[in-house]
Amino acid sequence: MKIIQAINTMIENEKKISNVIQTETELFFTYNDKYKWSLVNNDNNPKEIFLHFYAKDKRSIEELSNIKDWSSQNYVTYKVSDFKTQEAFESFNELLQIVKSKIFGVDELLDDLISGD
Amino acid sequence: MKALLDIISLVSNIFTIGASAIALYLFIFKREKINTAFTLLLNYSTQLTLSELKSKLDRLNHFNANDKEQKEEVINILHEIQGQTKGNKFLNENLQIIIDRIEGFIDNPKLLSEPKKRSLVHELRESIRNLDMDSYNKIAKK
Repeated sequence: MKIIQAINTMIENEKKISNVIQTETELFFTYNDKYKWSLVNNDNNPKEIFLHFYAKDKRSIEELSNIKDWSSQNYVTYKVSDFKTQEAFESFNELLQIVKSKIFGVDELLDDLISGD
Repeated sequence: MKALLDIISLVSNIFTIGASAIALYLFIFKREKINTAFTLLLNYSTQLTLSELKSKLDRLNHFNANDKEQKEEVINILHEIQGQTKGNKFLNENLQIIIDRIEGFIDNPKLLSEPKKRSLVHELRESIRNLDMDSYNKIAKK
């Protein structure tokens, strides 16, 4: 249940989202330089979004993004379908959009564009 | 004349004894049932309030707290929730913490953002769900 509050806190403090790495299937990112996450969404099922939490994992986010075999890894998974409420979906989705916009520093490029550099 | 009055008096006393006996019987043997019926009635009123609160949560989801005009509507609904909860003793006690937070937003709407609203809605929904289970368990145990 706390995860929804956690997601909305990350949205509120989006400047603390960093190190966004896009792999074939997932979006890895770090929050506040200590919490490591990844997001997965499926175009076939736009209403479902997975959020994996690599709690207490000492490896860097880069290392995590290179892992191919997840069968022996430890992580916690949260998904929209666990909650089935509108506020849960909007929370997951807004986080996804924010993280997407930070890939490759797209966010900063757009800031430049907007300020007319 | 006196005989008639005596008879009426006797009959009335017999009825009084009968009524007291019934009251004593109910008190001694049926107290549990009366208690349960009363509790069910109170619970029903709480259940009604809980379902009204749930529909207010859905209305909260409709409005975006980041938008200035919609935020006013959000604050209005929060006001309704606060009022309705304060009116029910059971809910007031059990939702104290979250109501305090709601009051904080009512007093300071600037602090309310869309993500904060979503957190609030989610938390309130979970609290209400727990209360629902609580009251159901209480009835089921009896």
